[in-house]
Amino acid sequence: MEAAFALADVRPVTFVDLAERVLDDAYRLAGYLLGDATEAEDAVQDALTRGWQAYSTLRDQDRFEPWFDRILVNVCRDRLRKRRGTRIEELNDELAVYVEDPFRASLARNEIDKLMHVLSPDQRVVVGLRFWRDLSLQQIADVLGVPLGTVQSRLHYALRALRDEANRTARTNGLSAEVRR
Amino acid sequence: MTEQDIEKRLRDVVKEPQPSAPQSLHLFLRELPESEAARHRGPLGHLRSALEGIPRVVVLNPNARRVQVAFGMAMAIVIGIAGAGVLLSLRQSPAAPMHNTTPGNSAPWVTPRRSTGTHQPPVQASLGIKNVVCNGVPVVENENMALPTAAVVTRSGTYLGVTGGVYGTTGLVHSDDGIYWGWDPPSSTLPNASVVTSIATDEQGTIVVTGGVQGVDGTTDGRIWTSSDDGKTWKANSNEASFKGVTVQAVAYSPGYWVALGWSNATAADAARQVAGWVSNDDGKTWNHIAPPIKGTSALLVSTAAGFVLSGTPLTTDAIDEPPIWYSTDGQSWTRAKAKDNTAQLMGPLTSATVTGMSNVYAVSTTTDGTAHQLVASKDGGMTWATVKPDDTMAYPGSIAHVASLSANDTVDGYVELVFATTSMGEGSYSHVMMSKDGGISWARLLDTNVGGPTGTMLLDLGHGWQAGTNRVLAFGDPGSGLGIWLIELLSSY
Repeated sequence: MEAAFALADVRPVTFVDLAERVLDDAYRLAGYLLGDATEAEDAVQDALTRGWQAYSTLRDQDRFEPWFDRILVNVCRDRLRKRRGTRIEELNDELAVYVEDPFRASLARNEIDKLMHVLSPDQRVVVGLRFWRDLSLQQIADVLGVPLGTVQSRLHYALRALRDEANRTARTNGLSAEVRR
Repeated sequence: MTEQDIEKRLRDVVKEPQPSAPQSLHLFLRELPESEAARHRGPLGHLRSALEGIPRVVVLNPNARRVQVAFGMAMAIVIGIAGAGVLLSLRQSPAAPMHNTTPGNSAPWVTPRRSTGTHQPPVQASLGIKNVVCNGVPVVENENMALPTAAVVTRSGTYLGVTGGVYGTTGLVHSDDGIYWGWDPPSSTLPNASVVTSIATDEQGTIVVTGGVQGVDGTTDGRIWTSSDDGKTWKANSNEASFKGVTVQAVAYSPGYWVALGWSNATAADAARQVAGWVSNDDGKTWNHIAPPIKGTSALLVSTAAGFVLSGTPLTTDAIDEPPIWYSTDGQSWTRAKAKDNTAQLMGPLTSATVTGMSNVYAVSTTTDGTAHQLVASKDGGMTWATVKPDDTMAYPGSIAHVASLSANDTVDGYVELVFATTSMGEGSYSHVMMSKDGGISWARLLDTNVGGPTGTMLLDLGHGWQAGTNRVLAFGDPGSGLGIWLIELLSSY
């Protein structure tokens, strides 16, 4: 009985310690992937629970961060996919209630927020890991468990889609401005 | 705006001061050990543990997931009543899906605390040092793309396929990774093409595409195009007149010979016409007529290491003790195959076939009354055949649609041969991708897909026939929002 308690005590302390170290980064990654602080917090909670349950399968503790990243991006991708089936109506600027959300605000300041909807969940995850987590393409392939070529392909199509959407939006805004004049 | 501008915008997002994880998250993490332990205490906790201990199958459809949860709860109650002994025996049941654990890992499949969606992690099926990995729900670049019906791997490692007129738009499709596909209308790549039907490649990298060209009078003449630069440029065959009035519908390559089949289905009389055939032994440049022993408006042609296997409606019906299958080494002379154990009378024409690296052929045959589809197999390159009776791990053996295979030499397991099949429930909209390690007797479910469209989910083993031994199978289906492609891959390590 005592041995069982000793074993049980080792696992939580180690998992909690390791997870504490990556918690800020995990929260930021989820925040930018989902574009919403509240949803990011929920996603990280889900990932922590899954990680806790699967912790015994992690063979090398030095690999905790990519291992946990993989769980987290799976959770975020689930949520993005679920969201895709939901129609989101854009609020009129005058009607929109301003909510202080650090992720949404940052994406908006850099004029990215209105473009991200063109990306599939898989593409968004690759973009997030590349530009917001600053991982190399090989590291992304390792985290996602897909071939390097798949990562390159997803990133290529994602950037192209974002560029096209940015140009389309610019043209539309230009036309609207002309009409107003 | 350029892609560099987009990259700069993306990078600038994290150059600003970054938010930290809120205190509530730190608190959640610190309390996690206790809250998880509490979840597994008491009668409800035991029930929850039992639920989490049940191996899970992949369900990609929300309705199916709800059914799965309900089924899981019912099972847990039964298990609770029957006691721990029954629970133990259920967990060790050989009928449990073989993808639920990895070697040396006895932990239960990870169960999320809250249900967050329909996605499950990639499925890994344990197979010695080699694993089959199935990546769920990728997307295609063009969601309006039709279902590819055949594809090859080019010398440069890219994929080239045809969306051959089963439904949707005919054309050539291409992909760098098997996941993201682009579509080209036939006439944009192939000279004057109006329909493309089939594609194959040889060991030198020559690619042959078959199809037809519609004339001003509305009739279609067959065409065969070849490419020796991975599909960048195409050349029409030189003896076009020999394909007059018949669309070329199928092509296969076995070392030294190309064989093509053609038929027309413009009029009712076409059902009684002999299928046209051609053979080429000069790299697809010239094609000479052959006389396949079949008639009608459908046929199946696959290549093995030793030649070709052909199936269709026999010209005559006098040989009811022989299956409607023939084999040939050169495409010119065809020999009727035999069936073991008087099973010939159960076999109708084949509708899908796959050839493994050992030249074992697994195929889908219509039953002779045409009401169902069954698995049949030949272990000698197509000369003798027998029906395969799956055990009850294949839920719907009467509704097999397509087969594919992966095979490789493995240092641990020796020669590995995996057969994949799609099945459907018939009355419902679910289609399953199943996998067998023992030649089609016992099966594990890899994927459930919510399928739309008349062809359902189909499988392509890339590198068909002489290239058998490929490590990738693509499963195509409609997940509810356009074409979905699932990649099933045999990995040397994972």
